[in-house]
Amino acid sequence: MSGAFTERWYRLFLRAFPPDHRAEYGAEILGTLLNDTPRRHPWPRETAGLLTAGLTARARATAGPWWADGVQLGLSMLALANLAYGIADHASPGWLAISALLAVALLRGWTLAVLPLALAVAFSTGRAMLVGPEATAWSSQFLGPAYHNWVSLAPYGVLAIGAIALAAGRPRDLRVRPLWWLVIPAAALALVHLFGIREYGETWQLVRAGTESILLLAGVLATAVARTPRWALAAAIYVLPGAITPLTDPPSSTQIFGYWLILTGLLLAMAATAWRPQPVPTARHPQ
Amino acid sequence: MVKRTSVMSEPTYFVLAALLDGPVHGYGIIKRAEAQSDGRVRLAVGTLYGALDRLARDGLVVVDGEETVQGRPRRYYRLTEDGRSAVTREARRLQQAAQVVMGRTSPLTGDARA
Repeated sequence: MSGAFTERWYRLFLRAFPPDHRAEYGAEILGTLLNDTPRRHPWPRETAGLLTAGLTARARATAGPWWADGVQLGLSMLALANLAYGIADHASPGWLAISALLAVALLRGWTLAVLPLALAVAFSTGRAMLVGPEATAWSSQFLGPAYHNWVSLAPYGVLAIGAIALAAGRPRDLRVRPLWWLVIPAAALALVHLFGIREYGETWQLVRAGTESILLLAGVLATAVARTPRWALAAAIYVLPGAITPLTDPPSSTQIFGYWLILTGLLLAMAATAWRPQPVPTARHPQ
Repeated sequence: MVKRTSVMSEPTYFVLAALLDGPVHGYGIIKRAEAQSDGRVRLAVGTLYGALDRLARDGLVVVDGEETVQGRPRRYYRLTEDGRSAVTREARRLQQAAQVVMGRTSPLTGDARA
């Protein structure tokens, strides 16, 4: 196995680290791996070390205050879910465009663009409750579904309140998240239009529950590494507005009850993990 | 907001201990940590540089010098005063903890009554 292949292999796994860490230590890590260690071929232990240390560094990387990072992530997830359901509902192109713009603005941290878009989405979905039932019939390319009870509107209310908090707090250095998060609405597009999956059918619900569980589990692991409440806050923003549904509309099956139980359990696990102190040294005068 | 205890993890302790005698480069730290811990702490290269980054951010280690080996940088790390204090505090804590057990069991060994 050539040295060039070994270098390419380790370079690939170096990408697990955040860009600033790669810029600072990347060449040195490669030098230690290729010049100093006795092995001249990719070694599973070193590969796993790069992967876990890289993901750990990403989890610990900070951007702005923790509350703003958590609010931004939680709202991004709500916006992505709203877009995915818009696609499944065959919503109008205008509504899909507004929903997509909101998701992108949140992911990229464009605070000032987030506020009007979030308020527009919240008003559109809540127009029947805010204006009256006749608003449901308003005809516009830019209006989405109108909900007729406050419980269904809870996620959109949280979206609006969160956007106001972000605009009012004016946090600096809000994280710029990669656009690969749009794989979630892209998957919805593929499920509905390529595979003909019926919206709200069993496969759709299974994919949704699986995606949510994997992301929440990743949040628990990231919290265990970084011991910050930002993921717990994001998870609460995403899970709690939905979790109140069973309170007013009792679950029709044990599967639905189990689904909310698992999501709430993962949220609680994340919150409990964030509360435990991190075993690292502290300098007397941390920089 | 990150909650922290004053308890140091074993790999961190041995990374700092490896630097007590002066500046050492990355692979040197790995070998020293392994030798000084009787083989218990075997750091992967990626893990070591993640730890060095955190320790540098906490002000416990700094880069002391750099050379180029086969076209790649090799930096030497050294303890700061805060780093030396932190590892010394941890050593005292471990010594106190060990004393709780060692101070009692030795005299009583083999002294059980029938």
